[in-house]
Amino acid sequence: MGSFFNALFNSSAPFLRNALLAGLLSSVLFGVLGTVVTVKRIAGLAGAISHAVLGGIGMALFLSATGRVANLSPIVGAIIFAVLAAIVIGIVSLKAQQREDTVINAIWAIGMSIGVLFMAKTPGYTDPASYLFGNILLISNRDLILMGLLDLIVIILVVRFYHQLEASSFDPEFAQVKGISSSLVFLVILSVTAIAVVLLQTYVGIVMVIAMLTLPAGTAGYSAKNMAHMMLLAWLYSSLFSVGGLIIGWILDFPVGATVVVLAGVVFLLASLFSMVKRRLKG
Amino acid sequence: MRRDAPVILEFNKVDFSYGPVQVLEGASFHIHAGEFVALVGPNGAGKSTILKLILALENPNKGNITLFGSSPHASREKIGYVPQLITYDPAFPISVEEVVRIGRIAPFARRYTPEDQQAVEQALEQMDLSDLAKRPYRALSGGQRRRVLVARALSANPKMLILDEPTSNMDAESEQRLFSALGDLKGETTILIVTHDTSFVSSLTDRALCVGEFGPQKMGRKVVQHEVVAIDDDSLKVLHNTTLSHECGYLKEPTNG
Repeated sequence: MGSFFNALFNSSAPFLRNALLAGLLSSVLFGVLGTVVTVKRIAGLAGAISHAVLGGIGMALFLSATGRVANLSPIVGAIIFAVLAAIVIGIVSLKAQQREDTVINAIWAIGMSIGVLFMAKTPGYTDPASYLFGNILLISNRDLILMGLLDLIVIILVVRFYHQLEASSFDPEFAQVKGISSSLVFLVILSVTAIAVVLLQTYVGIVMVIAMLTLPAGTAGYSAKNMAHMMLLAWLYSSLFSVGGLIIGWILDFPVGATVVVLAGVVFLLASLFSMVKRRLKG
Repeated sequence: MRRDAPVILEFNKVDFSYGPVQVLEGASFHIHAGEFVALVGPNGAGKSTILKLILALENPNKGNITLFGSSPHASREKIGYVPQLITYDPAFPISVEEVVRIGRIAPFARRYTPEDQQAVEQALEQMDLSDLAKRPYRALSGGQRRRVLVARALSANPKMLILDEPTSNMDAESEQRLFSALGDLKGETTILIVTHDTSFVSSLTDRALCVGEFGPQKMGRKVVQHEVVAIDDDSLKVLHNTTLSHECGYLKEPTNG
């Protein structure tokens, strides 16, 4: 534990401090956005967006390494694919009468496959694992600033439109009748989730972003009184899991992203078990 | 007398289809202010489509719909809608009071006002739910949840109340409480109940409209009015072998209450 704090305050090795800050900043998005994704039951959609992002990263790496587009950052490719995936999924979800799941799973698989193909043809060594499972060494000051900005935007939107968000999440059809455009709310949620996924995948990786968008919120859901309470609890749990995962990962030399998710998963399963036993005892 | 009261909802030769599947063909009917009307028909006949058209969630392909003298989109805020089922997260954290408060929501309002809170409390009282106000919605029985959704609709003081299959999955006590509350509203609020039970409707009913018979092209369904006769104190029987014009469908002379 001592070595962790020594490294944390070591000015010549800022990556641990950046990782801690990334954990705390991402917790806002995991807590607030995760609650919305969970209560609206669109984790599958968020999962498809997050996995499609690999296609954009692979494309950007390929174009940059082959000199076709000089210095193209992977994050640019990731954002393009995330937004495209969000638009297609949004249209399919709102308009399609059937086979919605097929399209969503297709986007999930095709996005990843495109990423693997581009990476295979990219000159030099490219490690897909660092994008799939995250790498705290990759977190830059720019990532932290972008995360902070997105935190701010999400908090402002949620505070301003909390009642409309609650109404639309609980019963979109009724909200529509009351003059709230549930389709617009849904598309904004998907778009913000898409951008968040791009920023968060640096921290926990593409595969595990979706776990962190659902596990802390799911744990919070067992004891939350309302959606705002659930957001705050999920925010708190995400912070604890992030800091806890970072400390454990550092001490035991484990990958931090995976450690954070395992920690969140174990607590979620324990909370589920506790809730089930409590219900049984109540009769 | 309600048959002399102004017409607040009118379907005029409405056609509607979902892609190639035609659901309604030349559907025409109207409802007067203060009436208690049952819209009956088997599952899949198009009852929910009619509701979606009234609520401007869908638009007709042909014909027109007038609600409170203008388009459904412009007037739907005057409607209190109680859906049959809502596909919400079963673990959604929300209290009974918060659900009812959603009935008072405005598209851009930042917070609820003291008047909103007063309306919420009144609606809870009307549906006999004041004691359950702080309870989590997810902890209620199916019948209690349905009454909460009725209270949510009532909290906006609607001129017209539309209930989609209000008694499905409802226990006898909740059903009795619901119809007692609807009886209190009858006359002041226009009530449209949608039910798949094609044979029997509540004794509160003034008229029964049936969606089920095919239109002239045999493609979609139309809406016709059948005679209803009393069989006991609580329910009326719908006589499907009769077809009444829209002007003579009353079982009894309507009263204001």
